[in-house]
Amino acid sequence: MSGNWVFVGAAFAVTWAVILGYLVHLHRTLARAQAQLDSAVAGRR
Amino acid sequence: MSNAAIAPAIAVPRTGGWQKFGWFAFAFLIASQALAIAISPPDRDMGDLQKIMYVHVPSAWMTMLAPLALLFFSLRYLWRKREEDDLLAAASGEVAVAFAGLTLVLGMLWARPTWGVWWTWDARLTSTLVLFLILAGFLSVRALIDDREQRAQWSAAVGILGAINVPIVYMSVRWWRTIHQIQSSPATVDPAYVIGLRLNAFAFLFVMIYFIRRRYEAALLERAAEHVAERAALGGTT
Amino acid sequence: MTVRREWRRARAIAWKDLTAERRSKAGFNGVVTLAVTILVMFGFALGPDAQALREAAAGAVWLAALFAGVLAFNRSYQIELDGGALEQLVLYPGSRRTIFAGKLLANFAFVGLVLAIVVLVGIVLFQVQVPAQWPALVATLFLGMVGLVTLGTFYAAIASRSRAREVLLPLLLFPMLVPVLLAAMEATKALLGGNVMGDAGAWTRLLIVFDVIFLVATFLAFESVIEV
Repeated sequence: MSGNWVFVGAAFAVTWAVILGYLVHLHRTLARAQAQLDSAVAGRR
Repeated sequence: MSNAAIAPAIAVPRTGGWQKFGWFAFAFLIASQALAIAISPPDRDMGDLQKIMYVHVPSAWMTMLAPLALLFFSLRYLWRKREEDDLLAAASGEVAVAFAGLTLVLGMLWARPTWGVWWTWDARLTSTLVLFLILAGFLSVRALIDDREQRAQWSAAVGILGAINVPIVYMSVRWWRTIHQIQSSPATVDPAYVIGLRLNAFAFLFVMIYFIRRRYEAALLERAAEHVAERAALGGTT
Repeated sequence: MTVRREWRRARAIAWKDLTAERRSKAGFNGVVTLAVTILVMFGFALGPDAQALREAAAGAVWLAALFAGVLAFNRSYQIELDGGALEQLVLYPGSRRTIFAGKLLANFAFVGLVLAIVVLVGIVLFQVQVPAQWPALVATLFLGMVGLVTLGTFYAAIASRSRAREVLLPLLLFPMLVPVLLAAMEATKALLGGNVMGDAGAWTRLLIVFDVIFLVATFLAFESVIEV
């Protein structure tokens, strides 16, 4: 059954890839939104 | 269409507490995964493949919870018409898609060594696929409709109908399988694994809540930026 | 508004939609031709073995009706969209539900007729033997059509008003139709095969339940969709 370790390993790898990937997506989206807000506020003055 | 009519500016969120929660959620997840892998003995039948359960099952549970959040916020939006609920529904939908996709891949990684094929049309896997497609439709509506009120109303309607259809889809696919006399293998959980499973389930739940919250915060910031820009465009300085 | 007046309004809307359709006969003829063409394509994909065709007939017929129906659903809002009349229609006194009811009725007639033709052509092309229980078959086809048209008319209210309507309608509609289509296809399959296992009754009952659920849900949700 040792061949199954490939699948178990892949499963954990994919899980962390998705979770970390979504974190990166969140970070980028937040940064972009913050930049949008900053530039809007700056443009207002 | 004047959207600046949404009068009070949405408050820009303060994230101090939530960021700490995020750190906690991830620490908890790492700990739960390490613990579960360390203490669980190999299964009689599945051997080490059993360990997939610690990501697959919690991911599947989140795939069921996130649409419930979507349903809740969509209903609340239609009831109170507050934009916060629309943004929360959208955040829930996005996180739901991520977990649905993950569950599908994990299901396939489980199926291949178990049954020799990458895909089986069994009730759970198939229902997850249909849910994924329903959620993709929800996100398409949000992406394609520019008018803010239209987008909120329509995605709420689409989200609600989609969410309530999920158990119906599951039921009909299961019946479909039974009629064609294909036995699905029931997954019963050996008591030895329950603790690891529960820990990871909670860990995934914390992570999901954190994701939804942060996605919502980003949406609030975007909305605040739009609001400022619109006010400036309409009447000079605020 | 009294029920009778609502019913009359719905019928008026249905009649308007259908006669506008009839005046442009290209509409109905085009959709039927498309449906038959799709059926023929399925024949090429699944045949030419007679046994394989017979087994696939139910599925092919329903899918042909589905793909052709997508055209019909979007176009049922086209008339108002072209003239900007949708806002006007909504402003008239009386519930928005009569608009939905009217469009439903028109689409029941339209898609029902298309389906009937597709079934007849399918019986010929896929070498199906008409079962003794053909009245039950007709009932099943009708019930499946109701579910298909209900969800199709509802989602078209959204899709037809977006820029990507050809993509958005199938994208939204098809996953939602899984229960209805499964039940309709399985019941049709069972009846065409003589209902050996007696499954047809169970699937048909399930289909009725689905139809009721989706009729109620779409009527309730239509208000939110049409008012913006």
